[in-house]
This record gives sequence, structure tokens and C-alpha cells, in this order.
Amino acid sequence: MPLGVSYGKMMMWFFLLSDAFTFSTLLVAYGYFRITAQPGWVSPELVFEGIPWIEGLKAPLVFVGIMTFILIFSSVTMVLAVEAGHRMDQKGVKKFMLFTIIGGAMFLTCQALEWTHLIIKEGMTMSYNPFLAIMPNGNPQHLHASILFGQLFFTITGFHGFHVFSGVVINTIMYRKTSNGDFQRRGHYEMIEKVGLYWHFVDLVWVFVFTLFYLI
Amino acid sequence: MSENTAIAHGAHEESHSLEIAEHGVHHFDTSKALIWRIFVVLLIITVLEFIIALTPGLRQSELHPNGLIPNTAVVGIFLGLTVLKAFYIVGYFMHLKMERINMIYTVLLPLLFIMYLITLLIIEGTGSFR
Repeated sequence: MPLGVSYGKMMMWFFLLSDAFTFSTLLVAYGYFRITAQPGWVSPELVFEGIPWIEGLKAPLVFVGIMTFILIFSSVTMVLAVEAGHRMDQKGVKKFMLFTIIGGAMFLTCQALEWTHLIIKEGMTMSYNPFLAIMPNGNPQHLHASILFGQLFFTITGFHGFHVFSGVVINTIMYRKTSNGDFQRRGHYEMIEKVGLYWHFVDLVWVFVFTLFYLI
Repeated sequence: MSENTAIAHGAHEESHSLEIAEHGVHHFDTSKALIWRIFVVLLIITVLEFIIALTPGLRQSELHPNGLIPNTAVVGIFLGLTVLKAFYIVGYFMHLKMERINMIYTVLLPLLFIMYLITLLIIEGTGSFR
């Protein structure tokens, strides 16, 4: 093993590398449109200031802050599951995999709420953007180019959300295999490490999506 | 190489983990205490990002022309903090920092292509060729 990792782990890393390239093209495209947007761009402060189902409250970034916390925390429980696997602690792996699955499901629920809020309540879709763009002179104005914001937002967070969904499904399968004692019989919990790599990658992508869409 | 020394040396020390990588001991060094430490670090960075983003009058933008820090600097700070978070996630949660040096380069070097793409599009996007 010239790379010091097993074949399966190495292949997981290579898959994640290719996935990193896919996400980079999407995010770099977003960045490109963002810096070339003339004359103005939708202000994220205005797009993400609502909290789903709470009328009239203006709390920018609070909801996405909760989502970020959930995903980072589910990453922590994932490493704890890997750590329990090292100690051949079947109960520990089961417990922490369950926490990770719940975290992923909570994140997906939040994302569904956010999309519903943006699409139904605010009316932002792939073909229309109700939010005002801030012009260089400070005046808000409707711009046709603002559609791009919604298109990129739904494409990128949708692509990421689908990764989270896949992760939850894979984690559920691993939880089942752990319950069945498959890994205990096999003598190691390397599968948990592999899905762990995938799960952390999903968290990693969210860190970038969060910065690029919500903060900048 | 026990867990305690890994914690004592702290998250920032590069040489220590390279030592682990060279000796090929790379399986049982992610202790619970280290995991929680990394979580706290990630949490602090995120909270810092929120403070910068939400403090009124701090960031200069079209909405707030009288902000204290120019927008470009704020964007730079955000990107820097993001890369720092990525370092902690990939390095510790994904365990890459403790892998063999060949593995680290295998994963990190291809990312240069992404940096290349970003550079090209920034050059083109900021108007030199338009």
C-alpha cells in the first residue's frame, strides 16, 4: 500500500476528489457570475433575512446558522462513531450513527423549509427573482440578471442537498449492518470510516456553500 | 505516540503529525478529546463569521456605505476562515493530516487545477479582457 491506506479508502478519496471538482465548477461558476454581475447583485442580507413560518421577523442568517450547526454537529457524531469502531464498540457505533442520521435528516428538513419559504412565500424560482438588487449608488432595483441568483442557489444547494440525502441513506444502511453485527463478525469497522469520509465531505462542501451564498 | 501527547501538542502543530505519518502509526490517534476540541474550534470560527456578518456598521457594502471595513477585506476574511475550517475538517475529521505524506499529496495536488480555474476566471471576470 504505497499510500498507506486500504484500497477501499483510497477509492473513496478519489471519488471525493472527483466530487470536489464537480462542486468547484458549480461554485466557481457562481463566483464568476457574482464578480461579473453588472451593474448590481441581489443582497444575500435581503434574501435570507426571514425565518420560515415566522411572519415579519427579520433575523438575517439565523436559520442558516442553525442548519450549519446541525451539519457540523452531525460530523462530530460521525467521527465519534468511527472512534467507537476503532474500539470495536458496537453499541457506541450504533448510537453515534443514529445521531448522525438524525442530524442529516434535520438538515434536510431545514433545507426543505427554506426552499418552501423562498419558493412559495417569497416567490423566488428558477425563472423569477423578486428580490431587489443593490445598485452601486445604493438604490435597490429589479434586475433581470437577478434570476441567476435563484438559479445558482437552487442548483448548488439542491446538488448539495441531494448529497446529504444520499449520505443519510448510506448511513442508514451502515446503521443496519452495524445492528446486524456484520462489522463485528468482519473484525473491523472500516466501512464506517469510508462513509465517514463521505459525510465529512458533504459537511465540507456546506462550509463553502455557506460562505459563498450566505456570507459574501 | 499516545493520545495525550497529540492533545498536548495541540491542533496547530504540523511537525508532530508528520512524525506520526512517517512512523506509519495512523489509526488510533483521533481521541474523543481531540474530536471535541476540533468541534469547538469549528464552532468558534463559525461564530466569528456570524459576528463579522451581523455586526451593524462593520462591513462596508452598497447597503451600508459607511461601514468600517472595506467589502473586499471582509470577503477575504470570510474566504480565509472558510479555508481554515476546511483544513480542520479534512485534516482531523477526515484524518488526512495523519495519513502518509504520499496520500496527502495525492489528494491535495489535484486541487491546484481548481485554483488555476479560479485564477483564470478572476482575471477574466474583473475586466482585463472585457
